[in-house]
Amino acid sequence: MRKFKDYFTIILICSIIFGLFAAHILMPDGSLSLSERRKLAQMPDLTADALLSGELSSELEEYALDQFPLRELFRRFHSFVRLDIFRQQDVNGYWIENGHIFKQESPLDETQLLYGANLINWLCETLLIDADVYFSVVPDKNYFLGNNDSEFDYNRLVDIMNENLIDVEYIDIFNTLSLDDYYRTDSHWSQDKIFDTAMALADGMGIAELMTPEGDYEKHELSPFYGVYYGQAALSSDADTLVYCVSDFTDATTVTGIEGTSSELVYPVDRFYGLDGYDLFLSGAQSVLTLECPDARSDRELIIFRDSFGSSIAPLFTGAYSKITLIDLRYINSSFIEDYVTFADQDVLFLYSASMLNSSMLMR
Amino acid sequence: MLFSSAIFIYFFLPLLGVYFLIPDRWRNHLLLAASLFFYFFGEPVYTLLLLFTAFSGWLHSLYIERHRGELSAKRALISSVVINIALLGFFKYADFFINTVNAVFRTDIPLTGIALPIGISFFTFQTMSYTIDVYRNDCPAQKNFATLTTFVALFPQLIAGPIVRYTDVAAELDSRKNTIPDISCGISRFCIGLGKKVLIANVMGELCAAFRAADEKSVLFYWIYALAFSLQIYFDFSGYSDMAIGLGHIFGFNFPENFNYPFISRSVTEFWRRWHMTLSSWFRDYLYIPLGGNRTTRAKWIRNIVIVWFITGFWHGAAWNFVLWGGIFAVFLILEKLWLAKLFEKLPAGFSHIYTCLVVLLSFVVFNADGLGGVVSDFSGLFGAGSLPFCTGTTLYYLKSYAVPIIIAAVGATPVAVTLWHRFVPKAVDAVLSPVGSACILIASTAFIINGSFNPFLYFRF
Repeated sequence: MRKFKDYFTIILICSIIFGLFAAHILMPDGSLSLSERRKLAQMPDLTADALLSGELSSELEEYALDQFPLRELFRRFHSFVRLDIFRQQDVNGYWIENGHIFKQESPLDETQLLYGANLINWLCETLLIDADVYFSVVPDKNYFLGNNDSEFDYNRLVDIMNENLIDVEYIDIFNTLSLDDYYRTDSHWSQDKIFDTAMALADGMGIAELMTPEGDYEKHELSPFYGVYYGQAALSSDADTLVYCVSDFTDATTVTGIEGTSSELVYPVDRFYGLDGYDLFLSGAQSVLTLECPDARSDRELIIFRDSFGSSIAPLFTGAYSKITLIDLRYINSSFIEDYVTFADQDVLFLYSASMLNSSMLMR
Repeated sequence: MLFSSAIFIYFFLPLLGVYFLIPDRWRNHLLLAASLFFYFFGEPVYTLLLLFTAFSGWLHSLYIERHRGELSAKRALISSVVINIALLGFFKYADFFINTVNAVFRTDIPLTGIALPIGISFFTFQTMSYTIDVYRNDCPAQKNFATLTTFVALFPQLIAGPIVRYTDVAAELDSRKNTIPDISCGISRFCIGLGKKVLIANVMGELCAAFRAADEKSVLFYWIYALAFSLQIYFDFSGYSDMAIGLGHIFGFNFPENFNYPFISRSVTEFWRRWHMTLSSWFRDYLYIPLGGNRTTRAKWIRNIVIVWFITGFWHGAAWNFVLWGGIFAVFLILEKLWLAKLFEKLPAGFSHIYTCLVVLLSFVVFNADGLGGVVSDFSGLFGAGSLPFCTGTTLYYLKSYAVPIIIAAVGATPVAVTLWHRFVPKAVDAVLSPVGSACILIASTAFIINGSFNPFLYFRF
């Protein structure tokens, strides 16, 4: 029996080690990790400098980890051990609750919030003098867990922003949303679930009667949609279905961006099959984007200072405004906006997620 | 290169498999080349320092043997020891001394900024013990430089021990057999060590890091941290030792054991017979006994203990909290030898066990503190100084999240699981489950390695 055990041990462990070694050598290197949405490390160049400085060893280790055979499977197994054997509350800051993947929030950072408030105030004083300015906060889906132990107090965040914003009207949309309005595998809201939210914003801006009713939209489904949390967390979760809402107004709208990388369409379906399916909405991250709808019910204009949540809600305003300009201050310095956008007496909406405001220093 | 890295497990080891295909006479050369590559991979420039240390030990020991019994042999021994201590002093302690001088005399001597060569505390001690053993005539000098360098640089024990003495492996360096039971035993031991390091120590390390990063601390959180760090350092270091011993078995060496369930000790004295045993015995044989040990007056005996523990603390790190850490053990060891041991004999066993665990737990808080200021701050937290709450939501979150790993670690730090396994699992079942268990640990550890980068060995910089 001892002999069997010895041989079995050697054969089993050597098969794993030599098998993965051979697979590592024989399998072609990947260039992208679709689940993590990042480039994978490639074989480093062998140089004397890199060798003697010790950089080569760390680069080789990074390469070996990134190109490891069955890497995704190992990542899932890691998550399984953490959650199902160790019974840990999260894996790399992610966890599953009520069928949704959640990401641990950073603690509320008042310095970041004040920076964000000051930036908005500066924009109001310099560029938006004649505009009606509104401000709203998109709660992250963690808000709906009602976790009292959380270090992130959403009400406090709203209070701080309101206390520090000058001449800006706050529109509360928290009550229009619930956990079911968000994707299970992603941080974002689902466009077909935010008509109430869009209406609340429209109401706050005084254009409710111009909005297109939900019934006038045709809903298109794309699946499977694996959101950004799915890949990062390496957790087992059912895929989402991405729904986008088409109306005569969205069809009539043309989209132009200053970078020339956006599609002319509101919903470029080919983007769904790229790295991030959510890029279906207005081609994803863009610094300045203009939506022009000649058939709109008014000739009013709207400027939305936004993060990625704005991409999916902006198309719902196309019937109400003839021109909507989306500005993402993460990708353009506020000092240069005037070069691309003419400010007059438009409606202006600052629409940011709570986590974005808590990282306001990303905005310039 | 870390044992718990993908490069080591899935590239270095498979390539080293060629060891079993070549004739015996080439195996030491291959091991030497592999060991130097292993060190060079992490510390390219300091590989020369490693070779110099081995060369110095080789040259001095040859001289000592040729002049055995003469005064010049003693001088050669002193020269060898001074060279090793000077290397250690320069690379490990120079900036500490400069900082201390600057603080005391308000001078502004610039720091050297020299990086500590990995494993220097281990390979200098091994080389020192070799020349001392040759001087004492406990072993003959090794004539072959390559063989001696193979001993000094042997990769399994090169960078974090166990502290292997030349006498432990002298016979195996000349001739050894690679048997199937040895290889099998070595593989299992390596997998267990890997699991201890990656699945437990690193997870405990995450908890400690989360504690350090948390804005909202509590008294309970401080105690959870103290427990987590004690478990982390045990599983980290004993895991490394298991991997080293396992690799030794695979390549035909029998390295000394380094840990023997230290947390079941019933006194601090017993703890140090079970914790980092190769270091304790090194100091006993090469410092404590030469100083006179306990066969002297009580005053000198106490002096000897204080000297040994001052140096033990200092060996662990160039900072005052390490000196304090050694000093704490000196105090408790003296107290135990003078009074406490007799007192504990009269008390229930559980009491002495709790006392030992408490002393060890608190000592590791000192060990891991950020200087003496950190010691004061951490102890203030442990005992609720100021307005620190007993418990907070953050504390409960981490307690819930790490409860199972802590329980697994706490049970794993005792021989309970192993004893139950041997008692209740039939050999036929063990013959299947043990290898499968090793494979599961290897796969789970690989999954953790791939997932994260939180992988430092605590004892690397000692």
